[in-house]
Amino acid sequence: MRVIFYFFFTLLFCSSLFSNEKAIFTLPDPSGDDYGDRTLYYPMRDDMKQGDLDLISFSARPTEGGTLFEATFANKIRVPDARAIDAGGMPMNRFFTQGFYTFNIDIYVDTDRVSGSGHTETLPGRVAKIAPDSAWERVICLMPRPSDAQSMMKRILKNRVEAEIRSKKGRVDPEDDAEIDGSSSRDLRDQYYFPTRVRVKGQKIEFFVPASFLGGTAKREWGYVVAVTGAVFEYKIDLGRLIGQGNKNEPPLFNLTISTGVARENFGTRRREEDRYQPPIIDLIVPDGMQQSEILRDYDVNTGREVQLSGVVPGH
Amino acid sequence: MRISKGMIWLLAAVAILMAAPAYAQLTFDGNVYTKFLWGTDRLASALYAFTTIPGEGLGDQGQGSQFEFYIRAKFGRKVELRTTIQSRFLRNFWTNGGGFGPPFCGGQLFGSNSTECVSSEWDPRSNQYVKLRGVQMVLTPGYKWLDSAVIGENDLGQYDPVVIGRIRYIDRFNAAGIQLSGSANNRQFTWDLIRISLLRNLGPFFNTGQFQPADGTWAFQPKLKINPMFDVGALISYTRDIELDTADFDTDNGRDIKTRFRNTVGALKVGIHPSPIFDVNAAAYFSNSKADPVLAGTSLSSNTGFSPTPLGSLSDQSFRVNVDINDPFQNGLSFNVEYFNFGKDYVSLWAARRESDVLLTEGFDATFVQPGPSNATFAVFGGSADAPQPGNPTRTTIGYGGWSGPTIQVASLQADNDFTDFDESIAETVIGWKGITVKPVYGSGNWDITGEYTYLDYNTNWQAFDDPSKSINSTIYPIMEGDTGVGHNYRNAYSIFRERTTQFLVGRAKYSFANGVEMWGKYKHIDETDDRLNEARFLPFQPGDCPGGGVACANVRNEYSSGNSTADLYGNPPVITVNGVTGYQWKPFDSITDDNRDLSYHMIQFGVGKQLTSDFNGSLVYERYNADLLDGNTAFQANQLHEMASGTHHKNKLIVVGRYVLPGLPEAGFQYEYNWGDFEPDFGGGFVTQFADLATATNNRVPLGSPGFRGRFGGWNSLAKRDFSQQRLKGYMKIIF
Repeated sequence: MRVIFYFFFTLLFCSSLFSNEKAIFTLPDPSGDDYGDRTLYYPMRDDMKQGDLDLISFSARPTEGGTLFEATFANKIRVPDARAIDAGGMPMNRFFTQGFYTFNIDIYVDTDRVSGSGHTETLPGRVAKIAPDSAWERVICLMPRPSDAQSMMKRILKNRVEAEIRSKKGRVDPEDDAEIDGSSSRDLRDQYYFPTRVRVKGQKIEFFVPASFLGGTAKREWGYVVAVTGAVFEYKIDLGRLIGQGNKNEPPLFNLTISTGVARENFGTRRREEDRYQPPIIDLIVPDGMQQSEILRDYDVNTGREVQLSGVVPGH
Repeated sequence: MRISKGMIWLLAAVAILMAAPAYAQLTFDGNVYTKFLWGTDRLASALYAFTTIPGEGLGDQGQGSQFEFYIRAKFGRKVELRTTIQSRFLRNFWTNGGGFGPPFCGGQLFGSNSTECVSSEWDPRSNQYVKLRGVQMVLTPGYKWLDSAVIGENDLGQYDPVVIGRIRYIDRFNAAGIQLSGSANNRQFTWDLIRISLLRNLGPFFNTGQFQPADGTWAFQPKLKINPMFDVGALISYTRDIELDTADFDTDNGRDIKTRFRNTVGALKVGIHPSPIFDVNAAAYFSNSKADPVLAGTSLSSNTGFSPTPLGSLSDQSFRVNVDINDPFQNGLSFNVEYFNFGKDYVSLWAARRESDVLLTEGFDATFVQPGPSNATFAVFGGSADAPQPGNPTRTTIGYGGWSGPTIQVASLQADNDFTDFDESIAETVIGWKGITVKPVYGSGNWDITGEYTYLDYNTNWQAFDDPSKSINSTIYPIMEGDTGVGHNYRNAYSIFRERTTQFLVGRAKYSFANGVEMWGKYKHIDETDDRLNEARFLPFQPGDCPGGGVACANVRNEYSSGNSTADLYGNPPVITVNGVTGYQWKPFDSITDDNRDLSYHMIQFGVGKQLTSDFNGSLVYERYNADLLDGNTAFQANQLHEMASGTHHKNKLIVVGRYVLPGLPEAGFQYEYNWGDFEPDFGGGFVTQFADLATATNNRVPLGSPGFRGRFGGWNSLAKRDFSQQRLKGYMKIIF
């Protein structure tokens, strides 16, 4: 037993001699605001409890070849366990190989800080817009199944290009396939990044984003919209869509949606009815002087106005 | 397809929804899972690779599909009804042609193990029947004191797996009850109150007697989050299995009841979270169990007894303390430390049986689980009528390769791995385990490195079941398949004699290349000793009882207490003559070292994987296992019921895994394994080698004339070197909608 403790303290001592680079920025977020617009309930699941998706800080620090982002949650991050997730007995920890499975973090990065320059749409299913003065050039999508999410995002981008071509000339020809594929691949490569170098440490999760994607290490002068959503276990085929019924919007990119009352599969809401413009964003880092709940309930189902998310500039 | 209760529920739900207010919602979802099995063991009576249930079947061949359909009806904001109907691919091979088969199963209608029953249309396991698997009503009334009421099926996941956990795997929600949950002070205080109907296998000897519908468990779970840094919780459960009082002859005033089994379990938990760096969680558990001697019995076989709980009246405690130190110096190095101590008499019938890992250690490896070198059980007796496949039976179940990866640990004697395939990990019991695990974790740049050291001692280290005043011929403790083999048996917690310590040393490293290729390696060492019977007073016979030289043993018993001797278990050998050599049939048990166990186990693993395209991920893994095992000699005979595993084991596994995912479309994947290796027996000396005659060779599948010896019960242990090879493939395709 004594050997164990000697080994343990020697490692601890040695490790204290080395430490990492200092943070580029740290964005704090209030504790206890994991309620979206103050109406969201957590799903009625044993593995998703209050505090689990409560982001309390978000930081970035330089590392070799890029930037290491770190998000800290109020609760210890739930790691995939040995539960079987399908009829074939697939254990959850072999399915979710990134070490987490309950949340997604979207980081929309405004690198040019030019109002109106960049994209204002959020990832599919987030039901929100980015404010024009925070329009993004790059988005980092931390998700439990990055390859699957990336693959699905590519399909969505292809559909967008295809729709654009169809709207321009009234049809899509087989010869357009190359443009559809090329354009969507280019957009995916240049604008979307799904981290795969991810580490979970208690309440913290850190993930690497290469300089080749951001054009260098993250900067304090850039704008960041950081939004947390719940992650779905598995993507389901939308039967309603298959038969031409149901929601015509793009399918959510692996995020939980909202149902009235308390729900098991989705977030619940205290609202009397499901509002199609209510964002399923459960936590959001907001600029000083703004309230998360006010931002996330600033939509209008009559006019079709979606909420607008403003970025935070750490250097300001 | 038969119209079942499930269909009736579906129609009822649709009818109700048609009459419901406009805001009501009816949601359908589900999945279709198709499995493809192929293997060289050629077992073919079910589409799963393992079961312990006699007659249930297992196999490594065939194709089959399973359908699950979930119906959710939401009657406004406060009421939701959920039902699940499902077919299972237990024996639903595509070759059944939809369920055709002979009209009778060996003269019986259902459930016979006769090979004629397999694939019969009359067998509900093979006629593609659709069945109601669960109904759940969820009420969220909006009261201040009550958040929700769940009536019906419940997976029990919100409790503590050491007390109440997930019980069943295939259907997941087989447990049902009434659960009320509430909260106060903005959910800083929460509570759950539940009454669970006691499953009829959760009692002594895996049953709850004859009168079972009223058996149940009450549990209450309060949790208080005092502040973000400190929370406490408790859980208490009370289980009662009742029977009718057969002595109550006056039925005019109703009928009296008696308690067959009761189980009270309490838990106290504390969480201290001073910062994201330090996290401490501690839990203490207390249990009391009492089995009525008349209704539940008083004893089990000391060689092999099957029960999810010991008998008698027992109380014990268990403890766990976890300390996480997360990257304290911001350099990527973290530590997890766990102290654990599970009492030998700790019993919680509702503790998770699988799918919940209660310990930090990775424990033993799932490739060596059953007693024999080929993962066979009771194999010394050769073929058996209850062997699970058509044709001439063998004792093969999961096969030489075993399961995949390390095991997970559960605080239950009924660790359950039934209906699993080889590509899954399995659960092993930790009842009686105590020790400490230290796990450093380092991650920086492209490197991820983890280590583990675990020192394991046992509360079940004892002599003669810890009560030398009693006979060892029977016991209150279930031995299950016994405690022999390279990796023990996954549901064994007890032995007659044990003096065991185990150490695990594990190192893992993974390197991620910029192009997406990942390479990893692992080394694992298990060092284990078990002196088992370690006092001379427990030797079965007087010193010099078997003088050797062809002279028969005198059979003068050695009593460890008045009237009690291990001679009842470790009987002396007869004198035999084989090919002119005269001597004992097995070595007389005349030394306390005859049953000693000493395991030196090394495992290395190398793997490479890559997301080859945006939709396809592939990996290739090689594993090598070397185990030098002394697990008793021919005096001990592996509890006399199993193949002996003393000797040198070399096992290789080549594993290819592929997974193809197209979001929104079907997901498909496969795992292929080629397992090969050998076992060189070393059973010591002191006996005369016999040679397999035709009947022995046929029944035990050994070469005619090959060397071996017959044990006390007549079972055959081969002394020949064994070479193994096994190939197997599992493919799947699933559509989730």
